[in-house]
Amino acid sequence: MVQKEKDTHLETVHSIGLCATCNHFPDCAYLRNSEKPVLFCEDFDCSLPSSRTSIVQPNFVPIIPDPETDIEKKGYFKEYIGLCKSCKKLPVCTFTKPGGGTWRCEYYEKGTLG
Amino acid sequence: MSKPTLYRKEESSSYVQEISQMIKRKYPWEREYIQAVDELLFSLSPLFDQEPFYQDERILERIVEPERIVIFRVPWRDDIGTIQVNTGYRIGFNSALGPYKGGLRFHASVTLSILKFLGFEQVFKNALTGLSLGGGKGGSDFNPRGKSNIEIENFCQSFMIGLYNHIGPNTDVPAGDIGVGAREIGYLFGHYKRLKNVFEGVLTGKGIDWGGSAIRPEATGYGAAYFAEEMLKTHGEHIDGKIVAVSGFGNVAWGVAKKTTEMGAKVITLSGPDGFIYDKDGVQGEKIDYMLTMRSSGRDRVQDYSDKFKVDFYPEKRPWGIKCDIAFPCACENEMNIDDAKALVRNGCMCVTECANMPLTPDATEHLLKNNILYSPGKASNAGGVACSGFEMAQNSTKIKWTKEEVDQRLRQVMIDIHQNCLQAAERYGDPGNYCSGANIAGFIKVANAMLDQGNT
Repeated sequence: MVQKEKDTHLETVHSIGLCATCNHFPDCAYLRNSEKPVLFCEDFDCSLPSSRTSIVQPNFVPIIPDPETDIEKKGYFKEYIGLCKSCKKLPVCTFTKPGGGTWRCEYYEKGTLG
Repeated sequence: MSKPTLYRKEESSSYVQEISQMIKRKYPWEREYIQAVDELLFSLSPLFDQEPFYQDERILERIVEPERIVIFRVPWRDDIGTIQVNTGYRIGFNSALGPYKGGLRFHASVTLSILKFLGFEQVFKNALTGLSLGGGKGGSDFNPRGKSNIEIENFCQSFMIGLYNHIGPNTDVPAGDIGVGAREIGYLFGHYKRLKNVFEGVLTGKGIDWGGSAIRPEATGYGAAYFAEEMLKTHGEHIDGKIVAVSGFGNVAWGVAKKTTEMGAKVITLSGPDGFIYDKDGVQGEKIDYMLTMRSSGRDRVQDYSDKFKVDFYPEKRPWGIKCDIAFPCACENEMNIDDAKALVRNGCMCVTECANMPLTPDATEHLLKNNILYSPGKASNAGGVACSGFEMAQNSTKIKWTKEEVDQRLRQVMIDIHQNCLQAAERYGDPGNYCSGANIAGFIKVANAMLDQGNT
């Protein structure tokens, strides 16, 4: 099933060329004429905030969480590796979280959430 | 004199048809490449009818086969720590005129067929410039969308590890393309330098302070303006005093607006993916500078221009229905269709200069040619960009930096030469005034003759 979805995605990418990943694709005024995949475009734009920005530089809401709230239910801590994964200060922590995880931290405090 | 039109498949020489069939048999899965070869070869038919020695020397058989293709694995580590794997390519298509030269494209849609298509086109476009540039293309199926800066850097470094042994200032000089801008060129160059322990002009599109050329961003647009001026001169006209419609608002459109305004024209339209603006007073002065602000804002909306300068904005429309003397499509492939072409002809447009790559659909091109509109294909009129890359290579080799004025002057001369070559080739091979076949023939002859001179290559 997964394989099938992948193939369909690739087919789409190849059948519409650059537009497949272009931010303007849904409402582009240029695209109307194209019967073939577009391979050249000066206005092609695929910029997007990194999907993993939240891990590298989290944008925390500075409130102390209630362990029983939906933070836990949403799998908040699953996004992290290293000490952060089980640190109860994570939701209010402003230190940078490297992709490879934080393995030493003076402020680490083991919690029950992770 | 018959009106110039595009060449038709059924009118092509038997040699051309034979090669077309050969490519289809050999690479049946390479749709894009087959199409590119067909389109070029069919326009060359009159040449083979008159010059049989190209067939005797089997030039077409050689020219449609890339000299070399390097395919390599590009493993890189993402921000989560997982290894990702992409495929890297570099095609050295033809080096009869100089080191392979052509961009690197990072996009999910990249395949060997697409790169062969782009590389094949590049060979003849580079040849037209008259500079020592061969043709090539490369890239990866890496999708930069949503990647962090660190991931882009990791990928570029791994890509260069796979590539560095196959490139060099006298071998193959890649440039940027879709997904490869100044940032990626910087990462690629930095890693090449570490791997080879040399600072040399192995890539173009470099930063102005570390080997890049002056006016590179404007070069494509400037070149197109010079080319249009040359076309108009053949009809006793000039850009000075003309009304100009431009699509796009990126570097190319900016260059066109700047140069044509400087030459005395009035630019009345700009466009973006959201629609177009009509500025009856002309895009000039601070308005031209504002194009850069719009682009760097990352919003990609031309409506911002209309909000700032209180001019008309037409959402989701293209600018070709506006009355103009000269049209410069600078945005996107196939952005101008037959209806747009008809509107331009109806409104008395005298010249259409392609600045983007293939912005006209084939039937739109046909319509312009039938109505004797001055029309230049992108491979000729937007060659200013690659010409400036050639200048960057020359400056890197001599370690001397040229001034803006020097680059601009040389650019103008290159465009004058390209125009002359196209015109002469079209005239000589029975299609006077057709810049389309003129460009194809002139580029092909340069490459083919160099190959003949160099023997069995």
